[in-house]
Amino acid sequence: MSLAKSLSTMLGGSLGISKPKVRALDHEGLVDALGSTDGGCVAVTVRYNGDASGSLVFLLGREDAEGIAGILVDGTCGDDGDGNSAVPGDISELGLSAIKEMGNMLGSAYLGVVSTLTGLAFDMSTPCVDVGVAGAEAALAVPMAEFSTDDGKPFIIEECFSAGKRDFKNYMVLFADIPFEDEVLSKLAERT
Amino acid sequence: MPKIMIVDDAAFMRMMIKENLKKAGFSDFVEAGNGEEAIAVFNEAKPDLVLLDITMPVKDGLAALQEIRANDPGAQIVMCSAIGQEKMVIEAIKMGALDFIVKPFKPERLVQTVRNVLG
Repeated sequence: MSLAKSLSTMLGGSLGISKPKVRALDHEGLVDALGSTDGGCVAVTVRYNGDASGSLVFLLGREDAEGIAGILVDGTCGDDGDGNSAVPGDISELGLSAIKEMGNMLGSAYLGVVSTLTGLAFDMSTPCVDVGVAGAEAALAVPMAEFSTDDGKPFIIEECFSAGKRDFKNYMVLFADIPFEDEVLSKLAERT
Repeated sequence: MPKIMIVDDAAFMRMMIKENLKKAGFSDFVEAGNGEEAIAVFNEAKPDLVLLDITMPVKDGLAALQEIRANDPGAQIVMCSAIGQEKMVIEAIKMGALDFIVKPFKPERLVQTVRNVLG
C-alpha cells in the first residue's frame, strides 16, 4: 500500500507510480534524506503500542501537501495547469482532514504488514496532524528524541508519483524502540 | 429513501462516503464524528444503516457498536476499517456488525455493500 495506490483506489484515476524506496537510516542520513521539505511540511503522527512501541510519521512538503489535498478534496492538483505549483495558500480544514486520513490509512497498512510478518500485535492511536513552517527535522524532533539512539535506525519509505502534470513526493518514517527493531529482525530471520 | 448514518472522525471521509452514495441515488444522511456522538445521533435519528469507523477519539467504533446493538439489536451496522485492523473487524462481526469495508475503498465496493445490507 502506498499513497499513490490509495489515491488511485479512492478516486478511480490513473497516477504515475514509482516503486517506493525503503531504507534504514541513522539520524544524519534521515535528516539528509528529508532535506527537500525545507519550505515547510505537514506531518501526520500515529503512535503505536502493544508488543512494541514507537511512532509512524507521514511527511509531506508543504507544496505537495497542498497539491494532494487539492486532488482529494476538489479533484485539482493545486497547480496552474502547467505543472507549476499554484500560489501557496492555507490548506483547508477538509484538506488537512484528507491528509490526516491518508496518514492513518498508510500507517495502519504498514503496521499491519509488520504485524503479519512478525506475529507482533499493535494498538494504534488516532492520528494527529501538524502544519509547520520549519522543515522535516523540526517535524520529527519529538520522535527522534524519544526513539533515536546511536544504535537505532528509523526506517524510511520514500514514494514518488505523478498526477496531472505534477510530481509528488512523500515519506513514511517508522520509529521504534530498540527491542522492537531487534524483535522484527529476529522474527524476519526466523521466517526467511 | 433509507436513512444512512456515517460515523468517522475524519470530515474528509464523511464527505467522500456521502458524495459516493449520493451519486448512487441515496440522499438521506446523518453524521457523527466519534462513537459517543454516534450513539446519541443513532438514538435520535434511528437510521436504517450505520457506516461505522473503528479508530476514533472519545469512544471507538467497537464500543459504539456494542452500545448501539445493546439498545437496538436490529441495528444494521457496517464497519469501516483500515488495512491492518483485521482482528478488530472479526471482533466487530462477532458483536453483530453485518459487513465491513476496508479503507481505501473503491466507490463501487462501498455502494455494493450498502445496497446488499439494505436489501
